[in-house]
Amino acid sequence: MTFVDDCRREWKRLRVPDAVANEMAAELTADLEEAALEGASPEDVLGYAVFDARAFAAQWAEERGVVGPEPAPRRRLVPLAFVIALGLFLVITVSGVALLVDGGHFASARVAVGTNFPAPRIRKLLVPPPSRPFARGERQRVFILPGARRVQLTALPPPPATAGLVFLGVGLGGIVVTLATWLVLGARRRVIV
Amino acid sequence: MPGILHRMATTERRSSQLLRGVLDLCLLAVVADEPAYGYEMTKRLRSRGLSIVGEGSIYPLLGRLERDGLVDTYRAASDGGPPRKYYRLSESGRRALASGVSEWASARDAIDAVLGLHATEVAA
Repeated sequence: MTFVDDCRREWKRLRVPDAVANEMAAELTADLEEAALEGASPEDVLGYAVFDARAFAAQWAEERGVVGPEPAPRRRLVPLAFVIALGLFLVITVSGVALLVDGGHFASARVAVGTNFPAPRIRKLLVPPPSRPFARGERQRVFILPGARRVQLTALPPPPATAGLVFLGVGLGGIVVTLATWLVLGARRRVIV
Repeated sequence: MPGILHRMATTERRSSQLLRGVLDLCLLAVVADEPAYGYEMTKRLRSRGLSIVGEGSIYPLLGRLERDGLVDTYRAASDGGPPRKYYRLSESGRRALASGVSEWASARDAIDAVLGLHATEVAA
């Protein structure tokens, strides 16, 4: 990769029009070749700029006023996606912790409605925590409704701890992976800029 | 030894700053009589005692002079080599050169007056 090649790459990055970039490259190449034939070094032609092709090319293009328009600013979709993913994994983590700490409050209950038990119709429903959650160890609660109808809530056993562990693992893992990806992409973007 | 190196660095930095302020005028001056391409201008400067090694490169400056319309450019064959991009003074470049030379002379005289007085005091 020669000095002129490095300049070309920088001009391409700066969206310098091809015709102008070709002209500058040809001018530079011809001067460097003539200097080499006379036994002069590239430094004799370029001064200290010879040590930093990128800065030299950028300065030349800028002084000539041929730097292309800045690329449109990156839309904020990527950061937004990371925030959403982090939020999602955080919810999963919290759910996992909640399941591990007190799964009973989130347990399902078997609901039976009828006048005589065993009830004729038994449905399994997922119920939200009632106004008063099942206490630890409480297995059954009976309500008497008008018309002598009875509602019997029977707490189902809390979900096994493995569910909580799985939620916790997925949530924490997701948070770590999301943050790492975010940091790596951000660092790469800073390097490119 | 460190004192000598420090003085050399200071001298080089001052020369560099002085030249940076008038390098555009120098470029206009070396193409005032006869057009030249980039490397040729570097050689003309060097033949008159100015080295641009410490100044980076003349190309960005030439780019600015071209953009500002102080020089015109054209392509022409060089001696046996590929076509070169030549720079020549434009009319506005000629006016800018005259004005710049006048400014430089005023500044030089003022500085000479100050530094010359100091030199006299030191000698006395």
